Amino acid sequence: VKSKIVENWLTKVNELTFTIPFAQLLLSKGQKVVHISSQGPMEQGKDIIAMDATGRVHCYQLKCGNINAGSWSKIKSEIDDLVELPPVHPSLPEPVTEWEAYLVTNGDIANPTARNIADYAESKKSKGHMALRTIVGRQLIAEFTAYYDKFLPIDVTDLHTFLDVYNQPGDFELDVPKFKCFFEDFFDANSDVSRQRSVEAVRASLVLCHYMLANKHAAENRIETIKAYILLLASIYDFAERVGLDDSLWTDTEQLVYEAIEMQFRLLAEELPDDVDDYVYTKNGVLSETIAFRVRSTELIGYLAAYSNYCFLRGIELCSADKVAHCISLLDGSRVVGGERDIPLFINRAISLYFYDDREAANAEIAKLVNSVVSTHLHRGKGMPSPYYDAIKSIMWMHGLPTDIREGFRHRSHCLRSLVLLAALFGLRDLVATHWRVISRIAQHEMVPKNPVDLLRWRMSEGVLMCEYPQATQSWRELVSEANSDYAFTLPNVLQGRRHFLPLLLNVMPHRVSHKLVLALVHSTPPRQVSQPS
Amino acid sequence: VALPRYPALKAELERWFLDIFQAIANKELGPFADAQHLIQHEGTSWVLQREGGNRDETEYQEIAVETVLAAADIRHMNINDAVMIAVEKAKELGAAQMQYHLRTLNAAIEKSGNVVDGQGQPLTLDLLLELLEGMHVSFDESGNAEPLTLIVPPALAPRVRELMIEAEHNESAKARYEQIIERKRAEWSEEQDRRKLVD
Repeated sequence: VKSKIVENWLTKVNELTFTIPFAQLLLSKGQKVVHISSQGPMEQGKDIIAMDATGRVHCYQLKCGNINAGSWSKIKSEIDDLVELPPVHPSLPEPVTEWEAYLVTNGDIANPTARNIADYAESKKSKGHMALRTIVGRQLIAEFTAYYDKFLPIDVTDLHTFLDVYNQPGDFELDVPKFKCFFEDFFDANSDVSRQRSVEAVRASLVLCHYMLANKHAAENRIETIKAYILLLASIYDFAERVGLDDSLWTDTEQLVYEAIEMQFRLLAEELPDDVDDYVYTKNGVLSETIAFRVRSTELIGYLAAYSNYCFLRGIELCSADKVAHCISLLDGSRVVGGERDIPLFINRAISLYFYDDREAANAEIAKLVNSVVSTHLHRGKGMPSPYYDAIKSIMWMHGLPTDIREGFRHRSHCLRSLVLLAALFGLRDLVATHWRVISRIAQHEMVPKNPVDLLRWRMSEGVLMCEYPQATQSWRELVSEANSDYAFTLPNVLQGRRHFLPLLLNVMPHRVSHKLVLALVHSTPPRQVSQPS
Repeated sequence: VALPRYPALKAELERWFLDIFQAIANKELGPFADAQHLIQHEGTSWVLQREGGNRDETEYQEIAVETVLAAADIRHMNINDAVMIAVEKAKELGAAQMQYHLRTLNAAIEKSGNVVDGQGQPLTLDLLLELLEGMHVSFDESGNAEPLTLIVPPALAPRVRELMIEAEHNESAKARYEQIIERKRAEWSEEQDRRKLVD
């Protein structure tokens, strides 16, 4: 069954989605990945450049499917670059005069073509270029099985969850709780083992994640794939801190996960203008699309904003900024707050505008949000579902349709304190003053974990739910002072130097929203200033 | 013997029994049935902090009912018997919850010192109005008083009904009631006026 899983996954992936797990395989084999090419035009014929323990450089060109005479002739010029042009990278010794060159395919090489390739390799070698080696699907299955087979679930329950997520249609939403809890269980099962095994578990987790996302990748379901990577990272951080794993032992895998996230965002940004349906999809229902379209618009802009915040905090230039801006301008008016679970999506948007110095738009975003939340509590209003409820339940509840939500939300909010403090930070005194009579009657909820690392868990086992009523008479100066506080000290240690993860985490785990995390995010500073407007 | 267990059928029926159970238990809660419920989705305790910083920490208490059915009993039972058990146990649970809420309420009232002691005298209109004097009354945005709830022991219910009828015809009691409500409204407005942002 296990090798069938690997085989089934391997035949579904394309070059891009195969790049990250292949890079992970190289790490497991003791190589250091120096460079992974972006999804753009191939760079010097090398998709991955790696270095082994002896300092020898290895360059890989990844291809998808069987290689026959036709496909070989199409890629031959790229292979020329692979074997002829020396790899150039700041991390490599200068100049590289010798390297290993590999053509990697997840398929097979047809018999006559194999002979052609062998002749080609011999000919290149005789002319003083590098020899070409090949790695085919069967070898890959054997290698993935050898390195990661022991981490595939054995327990029936885990296997059931694994296969459940694995078999889910690609265009469906990710089952976020199931996916997150699978990796929490996976790491818990590997928490009392040798250091070496812990490191291997981290490496295997990225490969398992890829297996599970095979259908999502095939359907190019970018947002749901991004959610999965973020959840995986949260679990890796949780595990690394709990078992006290030294950074040097796992940050190579962490970097690969970020590569995967960035790659998916880049692809999303590139594909946005080509959406022939203008983001309206009538499959599975036409009338219901009137609501689904708004949910999609809200989530899409929220994730693009989170990515822009991530880029800002890492000092990365935002790719396809004009395409993203066009999409946002098209969908901005269609967003909807379908429950408190959506509020981090809006908060990310407001903070991205703030980071990139569009203060007026940031103010308008916060004002809209505060008005929206407060209005649900006015005139005997029933509030809105807490961020513990998923989109389906929240939207059904907000529209008065039957759900199994068995609690009330009037005069309770998990998000309002964050919004009020952002309003204070942005100087929106009139807005806060106008609503204070209502705001002061709304209990502000916050889950405070006993151990900060529990913030990275889907559900914390020990912690206190704080329900705090604001002061009836509130000093603006005190609010501004609190808004200027940096609560970074409340973050788990592993996130102290990784605040760029916060915008992503808040979107995928909206029940973790709190004024502390939001202020820790908004007071984060990038490693260097970027001038790219969103 | 691996005979069919019918898990899907049983899951449906169990859900149906649970719905009955919850509806009946809720009915037992009386005035507390309409109170807003809060579900704590994670963690182990919760803290309520009122304006002014006054805090109450709550540890959860388990309230449970138990029933034991032997296989021999089940063989002779039908669905009506099962419903009867669900109803009976739901009433027990609801009553236990009601008692818990009353104990919590009494503790809060005593802690705040807001107790009117009738000193063994029969309940009168004066005493009821005195109770009202000490109560917090909320008003909606149009200034209408939010409905009040009076919880009395079953034995006292007939007397309360008599007093309600008496109040309808007692002009002086009506005037005093109006005065109290008017004062409460003024207090409420004053309290609302305090709800503001200052420098």
